[in-house]
Amino acid sequence: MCSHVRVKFKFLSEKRKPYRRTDDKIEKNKRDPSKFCTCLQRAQFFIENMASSHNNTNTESAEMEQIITEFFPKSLQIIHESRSPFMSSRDYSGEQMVSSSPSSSSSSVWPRDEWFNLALRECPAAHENLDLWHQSYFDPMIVDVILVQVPPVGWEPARNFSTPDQYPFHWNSDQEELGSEGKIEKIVERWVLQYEGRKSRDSGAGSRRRSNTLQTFYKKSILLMRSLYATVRLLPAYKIFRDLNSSGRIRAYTLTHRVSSFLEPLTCKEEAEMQRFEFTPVDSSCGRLCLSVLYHSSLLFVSPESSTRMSPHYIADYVGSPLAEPMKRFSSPTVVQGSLLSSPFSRRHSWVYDHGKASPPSFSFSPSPNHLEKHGSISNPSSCRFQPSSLSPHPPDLPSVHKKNMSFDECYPSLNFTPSPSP
Amino acid sequence: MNCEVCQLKELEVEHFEIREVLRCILHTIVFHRALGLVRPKDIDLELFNITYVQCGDVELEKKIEEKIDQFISWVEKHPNKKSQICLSFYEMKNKHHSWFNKNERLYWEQWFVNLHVTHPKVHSGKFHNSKPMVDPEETASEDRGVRREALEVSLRDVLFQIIKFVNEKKDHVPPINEKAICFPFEITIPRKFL
Repeated sequence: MCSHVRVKFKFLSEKRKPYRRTDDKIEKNKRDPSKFCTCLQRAQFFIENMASSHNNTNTESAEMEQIITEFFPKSLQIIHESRSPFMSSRDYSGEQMVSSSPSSSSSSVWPRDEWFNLALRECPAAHENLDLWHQSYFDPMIVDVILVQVPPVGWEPARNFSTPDQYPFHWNSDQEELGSEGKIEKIVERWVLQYEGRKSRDSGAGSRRRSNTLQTFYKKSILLMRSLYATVRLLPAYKIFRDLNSSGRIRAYTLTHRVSSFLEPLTCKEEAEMQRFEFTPVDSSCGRLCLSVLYHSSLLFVSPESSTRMSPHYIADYVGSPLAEPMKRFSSPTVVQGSLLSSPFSRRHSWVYDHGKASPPSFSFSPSPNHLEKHGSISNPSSCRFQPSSLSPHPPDLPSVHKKNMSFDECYPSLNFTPSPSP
Repeated sequence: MNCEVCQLKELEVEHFEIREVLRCILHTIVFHRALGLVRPKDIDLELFNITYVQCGDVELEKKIEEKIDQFISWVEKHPNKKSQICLSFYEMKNKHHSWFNKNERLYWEQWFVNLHVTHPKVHSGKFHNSKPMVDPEETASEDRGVRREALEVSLRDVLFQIIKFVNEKKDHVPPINEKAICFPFEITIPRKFL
C-alpha cells in the first residue's frame, strides 16, 4: 500500500528570476526523450570537444563555464532525489526501478542526465527549483532540507506560541519554525553550493596546459559528484527519507526542502547542534567549486526502528493533559478538506494505514496516528476522520534522543577537516 | 606517479557479516573510481542501517563478488584471524627498454581493508551465587545488539574515511578513459596477520 505524503516546496528566494542554463531553456516536457536529449547531447558534445587538441581559448572557457553551470543542477538533483520522498528513482521496496546496465538504455523509461558521468533519471521537480534560484552561477545555492512535523487532524495550535512546553514533542522548541497550520519545521541539513571566482585569471601559457586543466577540472568535478552521491546516503536524514518511502506506514512527519540563493541564518544553538562536512573544493583556472553541508546528527529518534525512547516528560504532556482537550471539540466527525492549506483542521497530507497494524509512531503530537482510520488517499477526503474516543490508554513509544550506549558523535562522526585546495 | 595508500580502519566482524561488510566497502571504493559513465544503484544493507552505492555494472559486480567468495573460503580455513584485503588500481605501461615488450602494472592507489573475523562468544549460562540468575540467551542477544550497533558505527566511519580520502587526494588519479567504466584494478586476497 502506498503512502501519499505530498512533498512541499518552499521558496524563499527574493530573486525570482529564471535560472538560465547554457541552452537558455528548461524544457517543460522532459518526459519526451527527444527533447531531453539536449542535456545528453550537451554532455556528449562537451566530452568529445574536450578531448580535441584543437580547442581554442574561447571554446575551453565556454566548456569550463558549462561544467560550472551544470554543477548546480546536478548537485541539486542528487540532494533532491535522496531527500524528497516519492520523487526518487527508488520504488517503495528500495529496489531500483530501471535496469542496472548502463547500456540497456531501452529498458529505461525516463531519459537520464549524464553530466559528470553520473546517469541520473531526469527530475523535473528538481529543475523547477532552479527557475527560482538565481541567474548567475556566482550566486550560491543554499538547499535546506527540512523535517516537517505534521499535526493530526483536529489539532489546533495553542494561542500562546511562546510556551513551547505545550508541544509534546520538540527538539529545542525555541528554534522550531511554527507554520500557520501548526506544523513544526526544523532544518536538518543545509547544503551550500558555490562557485568562488578568483580575481586574477590563470594566464598560464599554452593551450595544452589549459586543455589539461579543463580535463583535470572535469575529472575532479566527477569525483566530487561521486562523493556527494555517496555522502547524501550516509547522513542521518537519509534514514528518514527511506522510512518515508517505505510502504504502508503512516508518518506524522515528512521531509521537504527549499532552494534559495541567500543564507537564512541559523541560531548559534542550532548551528552548535549541527556538524559540518566540507568537500574539498575543485579548482579551475578562474575559481573553485565549493560544496559543504551542515547536518543535524540527532535524528535517530525519528526512525521507527530506533529502540530508544524519549523522556517520559514528553509523553505526559499530552496524555491526559489539557493539550488533549482540542480533541474534545470534535463532537462531530472531522472531515478532511480537499484544500489543505487554509483550515487548521485540515490535514496536509493523506495518511494511509495498514489494516489492523498498530504501528507505534516515532513521535506524536497528541493522539497517535495509529488511531486514525484508514480511509485511502487524499482524493477521498470525506472518509478521513479522527475519532478521539479511540485514544489508546498507552502512550506510544517515543524514542529518546540518544541511542543507548552511544552518542551521536559516534554514530555520525564529525567530518571536519581542512580542505586542501587542489593545485 | 606516486602510489597513494589508504589503510582503512579495522573492523571486527563475524563470519555471517563478512559478505555485506566487504560488498559495502569495496563497492564504495570502486564507485569513486568508476569515473566512466555509470548508472548508480543504491543497495540497502540487510544487517545494518546503511545504504551504499554500486556502479550498476554487471562485470564489476561479478568481479567483486568472486573475490568476496574467495575471501570467505580463506576465512573458513583460517578462522579467528586478522586479515587484510588489498584493492589496487593500476595503469598498464609498456616497458620499451625491455627486450620483451612487456606491459607493466603501475599501481597508483592501494586500499587496505582490515578485517578481524571473530566467532561469537558462547555464554555458558554459569553464574555466581551472589548474582541474580540471568538468561544466557538474553545476555547473548543484548551483547550481539551492542556489538552490531558498534560495527555499524565503525562501518560508517570506514565509508566516511573512503569519502574523505577520495576528496583530499585527487591529483594522482589518472586521466579518465571514456571507453572504460572503471580504472583497472585487482583485489588481492589476504595475507594473514596473527
